[in-house]
Amino acid sequence: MPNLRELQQGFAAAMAGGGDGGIGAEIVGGALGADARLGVYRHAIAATRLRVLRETFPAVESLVGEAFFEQLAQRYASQCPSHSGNLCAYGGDFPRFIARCPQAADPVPYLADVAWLEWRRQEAALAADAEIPRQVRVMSGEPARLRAQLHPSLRSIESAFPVISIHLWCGAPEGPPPSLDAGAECGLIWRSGAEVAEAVVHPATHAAVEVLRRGRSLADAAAAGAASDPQFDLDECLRSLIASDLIVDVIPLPRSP
Amino acid sequence: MRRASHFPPLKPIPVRAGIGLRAPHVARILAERPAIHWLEVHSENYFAAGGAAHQALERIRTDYPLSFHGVGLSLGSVDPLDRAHLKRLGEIVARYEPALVSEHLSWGTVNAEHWNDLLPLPHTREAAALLAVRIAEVQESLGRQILLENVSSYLRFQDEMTEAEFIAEVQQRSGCALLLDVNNVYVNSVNHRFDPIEYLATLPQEAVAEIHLAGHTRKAGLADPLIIDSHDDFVSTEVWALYEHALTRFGPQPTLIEWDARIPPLEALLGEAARADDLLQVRHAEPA
Repeated sequence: MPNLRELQQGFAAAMAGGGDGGIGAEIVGGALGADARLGVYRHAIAATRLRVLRETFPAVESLVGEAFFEQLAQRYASQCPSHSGNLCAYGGDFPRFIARCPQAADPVPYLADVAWLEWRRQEAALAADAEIPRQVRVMSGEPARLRAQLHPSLRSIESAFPVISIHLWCGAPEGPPPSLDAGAECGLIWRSGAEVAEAVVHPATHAAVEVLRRGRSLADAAAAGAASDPQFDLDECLRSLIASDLIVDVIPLPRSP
Repeated sequence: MRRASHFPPLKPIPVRAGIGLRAPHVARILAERPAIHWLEVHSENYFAAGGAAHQALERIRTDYPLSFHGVGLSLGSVDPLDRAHLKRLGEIVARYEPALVSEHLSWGTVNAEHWNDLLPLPHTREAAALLAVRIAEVQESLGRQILLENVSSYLRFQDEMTEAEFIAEVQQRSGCALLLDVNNVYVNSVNHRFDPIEYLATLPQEAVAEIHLAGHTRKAGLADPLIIDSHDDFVSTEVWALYEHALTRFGPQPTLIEWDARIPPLEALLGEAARADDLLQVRHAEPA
């Protein structure tokens, strides 16, 4: 009998590559046989991973169909091992995997961006809660010395495709799908109550929010927005974020040492 | 002897039948507060920093006794224990103060890859010794005794002892309590051709502190009998009969109806729980 490490490594090899992983002789196979018994586990593991990806990436599946999604899930499982016993973490690399997968990217060039959007929805759904003040205390002072503390669930996305419109259409596919001629789209994703929300925003808003998300000053956010659109108004942007409960506080930047 | 918890539970688990809390039923339970004796949740579903699941559980815990049931700690792995996983488990146990915390007698990780399944261990002294050390580490970290569940399996190795002897040794060495999954005992008794009554008789009588019941799927047309622990159906007649044997052997214990796939309306789970509860009440009424 091999030791426990050898047995578990053999079992893992059988799960990854088929066959008995070199531990067939250690299994009481009976008439069914060791390979078939190992296959029960192989099937269960694949089914669990497929289920999790389906729950997290429903729009990706709707765009490529069940059969191709299942193939993608199998290839992803073989190339990107799971490292956590918490299945909510499974699928974080799926958008990157799709972007590298020519069989997926060629027929559906925006598939990876839709996957990124769905993963950011997952992140937003699971992000920390935050106490939203009834009225955000906006400190007076130099915008260069203030920063906005955003809701932990707020995420943004920028795509060369109309990714938010495509995602919304996948959820309620009435009428023709959005035309790719609509071009690039930026969006915000956040948790509102128990639901995850998403909205198309101007590229200048996206640029400013990204700067705020990195903890930089209001002045930097205004500059980033203005670089995208000279008409960008940071005050209006902040008012919109406050109205959606996405600003928790406006606080001084930590002083440089 | 059971250790005192650092975190006394908000509500103790009664010796009644409860159900597993599943996503399709959460809104209704929050809205209607149906009469359910207790609820069990999967610990990992609350590993996230925040979100809807936490918001719901904060409300549910004020009305229902809670049990946390983990599936991802991989206690039987030769890989080191996942410290981040254990730390997060400790944080949610401190936050929600569940009356029971349980995991599985299985493994899932090797060479840092997690297979996200409850994989079978060989019933060897080496595996029992490893499990005992790992369970002790978890109990030390959480500051409380945990329960370990016997898992269903579809293969067995060239073992040094029976499954029940293995579990008894792990329990004796670690001081953990046992979560007896009666469906898993039945599934394994068919898959590996042993006597489930003898199995129950081998387990330490005082260690069983919770019982699970679930449905299974019998595969047809194979060279050997094979039952899959699918948790997608009503509890079978054979498992109800074995449950009665378990109550005779271990006395009335908090009992949970598990249903994880093809989840039916809440009434179906409550009906199964009522049936288990009737059997528990009969045992309560019997003279000691």
